[in-house]
Amino acid sequence: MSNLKYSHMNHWKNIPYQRIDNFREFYYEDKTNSAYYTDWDRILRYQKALGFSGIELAPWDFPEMLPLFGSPKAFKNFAAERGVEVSGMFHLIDKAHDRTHHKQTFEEGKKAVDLLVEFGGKHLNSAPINNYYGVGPLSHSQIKAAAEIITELGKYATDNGVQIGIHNEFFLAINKDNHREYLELTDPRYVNYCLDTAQVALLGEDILEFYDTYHDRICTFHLKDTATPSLPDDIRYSRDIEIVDDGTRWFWEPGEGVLDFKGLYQLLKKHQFKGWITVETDGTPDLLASMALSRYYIDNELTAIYN
Amino acid sequence: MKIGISLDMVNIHHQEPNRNRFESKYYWDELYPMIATAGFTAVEIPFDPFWIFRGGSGVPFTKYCVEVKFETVAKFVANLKEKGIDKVAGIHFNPTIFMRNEDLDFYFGASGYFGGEAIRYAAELGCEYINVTPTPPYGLVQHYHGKNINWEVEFTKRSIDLINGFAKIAQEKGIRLLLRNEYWSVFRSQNFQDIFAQIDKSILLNLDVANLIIAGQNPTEFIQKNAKKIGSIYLTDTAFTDENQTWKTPLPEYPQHRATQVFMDLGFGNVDLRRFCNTLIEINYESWTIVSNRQTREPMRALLRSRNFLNSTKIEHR
Repeated sequence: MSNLKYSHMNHWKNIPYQRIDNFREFYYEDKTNSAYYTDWDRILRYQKALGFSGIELAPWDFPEMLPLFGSPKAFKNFAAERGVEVSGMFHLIDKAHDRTHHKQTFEEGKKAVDLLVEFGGKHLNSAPINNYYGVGPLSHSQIKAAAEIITELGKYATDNGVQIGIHNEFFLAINKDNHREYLELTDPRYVNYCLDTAQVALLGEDILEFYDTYHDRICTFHLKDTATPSLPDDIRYSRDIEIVDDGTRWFWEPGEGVLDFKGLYQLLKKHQFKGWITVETDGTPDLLASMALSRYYIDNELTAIYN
Repeated sequence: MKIGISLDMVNIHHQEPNRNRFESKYYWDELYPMIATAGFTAVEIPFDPFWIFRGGSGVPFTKYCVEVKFETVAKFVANLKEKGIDKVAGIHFNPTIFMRNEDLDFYFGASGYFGGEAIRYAAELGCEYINVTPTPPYGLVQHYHGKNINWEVEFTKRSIDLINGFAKIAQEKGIRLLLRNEYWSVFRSQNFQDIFAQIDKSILLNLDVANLIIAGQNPTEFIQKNAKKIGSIYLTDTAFTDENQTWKTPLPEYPQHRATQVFMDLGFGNVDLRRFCNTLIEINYESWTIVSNRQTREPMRALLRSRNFLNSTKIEHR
């Protein structure tokens, strides 16, 4: 079994059917490719066919997904029948800088951990705080508060077999000037790091130097590319910048941007990384094409470096 | 008769290739002139607070989003006018987004707050009405609250209180409150006359043609009998018949036993919409008629299909 297991971040949005048995009939109703993106059975089969045996879930999909399946366990079993397991899920540590909100923040985090356990997943990849716009800049006390609450949640997660991974994003209040400080204020026994390669590069970090420095904290990856690393402050700190008015994309499939993934895989080998790597292609107009492009790049450019 | 088209034709919550463009402002900037080019000068906007929390403020479905992109609602309205859309006829508010856990206080609290926001947004847009989905789907509420054997009675009572609260805000803002009929509503399981007796007298009904047919009623007869209580109409098409009690499932727009596009583009289902349109003319219906293609596979095609259908009726030539 390979040391590296590949997962795919679920950005399909709501998938309203479990399985479509009358596929041809459904297709003929309007003869569009929508039929190909409407049931979980086919989505999971695409994943398996392209070598993604894990799926990372997004909480904004649960209001439709959970009633559709009835329970997290039912989804877990459905995915397992198709050779896919839940590797993790995304979570936001809401208002982490505000100690008066910590009780609620912790309760929300607990629920996320419990849900992930039911799904059978391992990684709770957590945005450490809200957006910079409206919250930043943070004082040292607020950074410390944010580190405290994720550490507290990390203890609960660890006790339940889940790894909390800090998932930093280029527009959050934990940002270029304070994210190392924040990381070092968290307790390494309970808080890990999910290195989202594009997000951290957009932030202004050299991802190879960052991984080399913090490799013992990094438990999993979001593998994605960018063509615009080191964004200036006025972009990173602006309002609702993740989705841009003119359609500018921050994120690209691995190999389609400018990041040094070959260098990263040399470091993965050096530090003997083992575990889940999640390909995330948010912003793509075609998730299936992006999944296939990513798989080709991994197989033909990266795997040999690690092996 | 006043004709508009609903922006619900842009289905942002479900996957299809190129869906991502719906989240950026440029898509909408391109869409508005296309709506006018297709002969629609009025729109209805679905209120969708999802875009407050997800950074997708290019989607013009809340006051927050519009203010981020245009500074004020008035500037947004002026922008629409520049692009050929003279009127936002109304807003549709659907509280289903808040039916996501076992906490009924969360559902009613969030619905009350954002319903109020929707009404205030509608008033600033210069809308004539706010159209409210009265309850989430029966099966969805049952999924979260079915353990309580009295859930239907309690949920119905609190929903009526919620709606009456909306009516009060709407009256203060000078717009009409309408209740949408959907074939999956919790109200369907209740005595509708009882419910009607308890809701504020200012509240009117929205008539959604396809929904009414799926629920087993005749929309032509319905409007003939209830013309004075109808505040707006959705022209919707369907070929779906609910023979498996899909209305009681959590996702009733997606029949799990047999996949189908429940709401088809106008003219592509089997509803006798021409006869219905003739009835509107006969009874001298004068309020808003909104074209809705909520499950279309392609918004631009739905626009033109709708125009093609309307051109084949006399509805705009009175």
